[in-house]
Amino acid sequence: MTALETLVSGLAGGSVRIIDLTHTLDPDFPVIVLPPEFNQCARFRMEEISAYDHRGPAWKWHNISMSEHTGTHFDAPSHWISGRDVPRGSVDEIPIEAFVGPVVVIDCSSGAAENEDFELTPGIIAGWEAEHGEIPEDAWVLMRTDWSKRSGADYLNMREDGPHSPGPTPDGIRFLIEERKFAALEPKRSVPMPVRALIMCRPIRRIFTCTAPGNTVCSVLQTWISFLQPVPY
Amino acid sequence: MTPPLRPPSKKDPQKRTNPPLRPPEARSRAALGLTAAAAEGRFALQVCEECASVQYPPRDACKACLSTDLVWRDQSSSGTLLAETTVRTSTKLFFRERMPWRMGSVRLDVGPVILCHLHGDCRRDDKVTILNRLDAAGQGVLLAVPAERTDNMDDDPQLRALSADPKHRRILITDLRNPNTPALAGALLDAGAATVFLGESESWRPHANRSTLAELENVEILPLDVTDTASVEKLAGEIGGKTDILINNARFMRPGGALDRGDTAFAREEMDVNYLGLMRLAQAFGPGMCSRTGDGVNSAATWVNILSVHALSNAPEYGCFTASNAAAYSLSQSLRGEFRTSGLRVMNVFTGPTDDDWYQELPPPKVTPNALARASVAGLRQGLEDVWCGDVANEIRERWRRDPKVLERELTQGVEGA
Repeated sequence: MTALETLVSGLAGGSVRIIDLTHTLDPDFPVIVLPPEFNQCARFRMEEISAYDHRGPAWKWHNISMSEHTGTHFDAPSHWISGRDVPRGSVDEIPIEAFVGPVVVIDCSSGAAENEDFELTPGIIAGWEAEHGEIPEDAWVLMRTDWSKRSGADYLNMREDGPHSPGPTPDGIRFLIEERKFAALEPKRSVPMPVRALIMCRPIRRIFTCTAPGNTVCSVLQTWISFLQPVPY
Repeated sequence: MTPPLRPPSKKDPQKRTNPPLRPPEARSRAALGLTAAAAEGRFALQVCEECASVQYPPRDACKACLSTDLVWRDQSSSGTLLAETTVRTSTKLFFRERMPWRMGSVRLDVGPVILCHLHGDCRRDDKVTILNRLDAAGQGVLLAVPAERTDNMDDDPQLRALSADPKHRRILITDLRNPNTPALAGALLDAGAATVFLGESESWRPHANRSTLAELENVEILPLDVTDTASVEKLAGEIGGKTDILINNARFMRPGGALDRGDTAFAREEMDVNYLGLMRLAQAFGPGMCSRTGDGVNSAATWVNILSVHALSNAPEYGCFTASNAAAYSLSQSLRGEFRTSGLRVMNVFTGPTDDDWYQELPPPKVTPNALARASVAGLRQGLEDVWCGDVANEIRERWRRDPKVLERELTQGVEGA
């Protein structure tokens, strides 16, 4: 059997499962909060067009509106100013193959449970590689934080100096970009600005950030990917 | 002495809610001057510009000299109760349900003798004060009350019916985040409100008002986002049947006119909150409130909007925000028409620049949250339709009445040397 046939029969037989890691959109889902003098990220909104009534007797449907950055999403290189000149850097131009790739999961959940500002450092990546082998080229690197188990105000965790949540350090990102040529980073939500600038200026297929929230056990990977936070940024 | 108004007991679930009833609405055009004054809590009578006589009831010509040059002018509201009578039956359902009903004739200090409703504490030959108040039909009517305050005076059934007193009522303030909410909630509780519901949008975003208000007795914080139809409908489903007064203080504002902004993003939010938010609230809460205007001590009474006074005439430095308020003001007039048959009032509180972040650049005078709260509660107690809060609002109102075009020209002044 070809790889594709193996996959398809695995899916049909139930030995391979497809897990939806995206977050279900709802109007009260947190989004990024910028200083109020800046334009803001639109919240998810759903307005009934008709519901089997005088506005349309036999059908129910809605208009929806939201930002590119509402709920589960990824940032294309052109999102950030450092990536504005990256060739094929916008969502509609990214080759579809870039959305499929090997995944490694670095479990930071226990550290994130103790420290809401927990950082993914080159040291932690090296520790992971010592145990599991080198991160393959073009892999998606998933940082497990269990942040998806939070909701509402706990999830955004906003304080007077801004939101607090785990994320990678600039050094960690630099290592992944330069030494491992990774394809994507999850989570992107707490990626600080210098890190973002680093990520976004890379040519596509090498680097884009993504979000892949969810809260189910991912048996496809037969690992402990039970996490992957919903991402407001 | 007026017996104190007791908090209502729980509703008997087997009894039908009293349907909205109202006294006769029809008036001549000449008589509507009284209603216009009542909408602002003023007592005014027709004065002849030719012979200076003051007359009542309103007519199309002066009863002394037949001149048609009549203007409405504020008058002293003092008088003496000459005679009284008690009406024991009526063909009008509104009065029939409220019998017996006292009426009297009062000689005003300014001359005319008027026929008016009587507060329970008024006796013959008493000095009285005439209140010009809007009744359930939205028309100005006159009520004589004792010149000196009496015990529980505001609890008199006739006076209470001509007000939207917060006492024993349940009140929804739609935006917990607004800087004026703590003052509003506090003033309403001080005025005897039974419960103050506070709508909170985006509870995932922390803000100071929550901790200030969450601990207060008789305050309930509930999820409400006026930009989300489902959220508005859900809350109306939960508390729409016990919302007696709704105060819409949801506001989105940013400075600037059209050219100060490169796009329509803020304007869209301003319209979504300030205009469409009002519409969503009206569609969700309006029908329930309209059906409960006859529901006893805590009947539905008033819908309150807090608007920039520049809804009347644009202030270009806040041009886009002002435009959304003009839209909301216009919609409030539509709501007055739509609510009229039920007797549910719409009170607009027009304010000048308020003392908060978004008016930081402007010099005083500014309206403090406490001043806004005091004016709103006073407006409810007097059953007003239009409240002008602060020096700026009162001045803009005067200038607007005098000549809207002159006001517009003054507000749209260019920059010297440009």
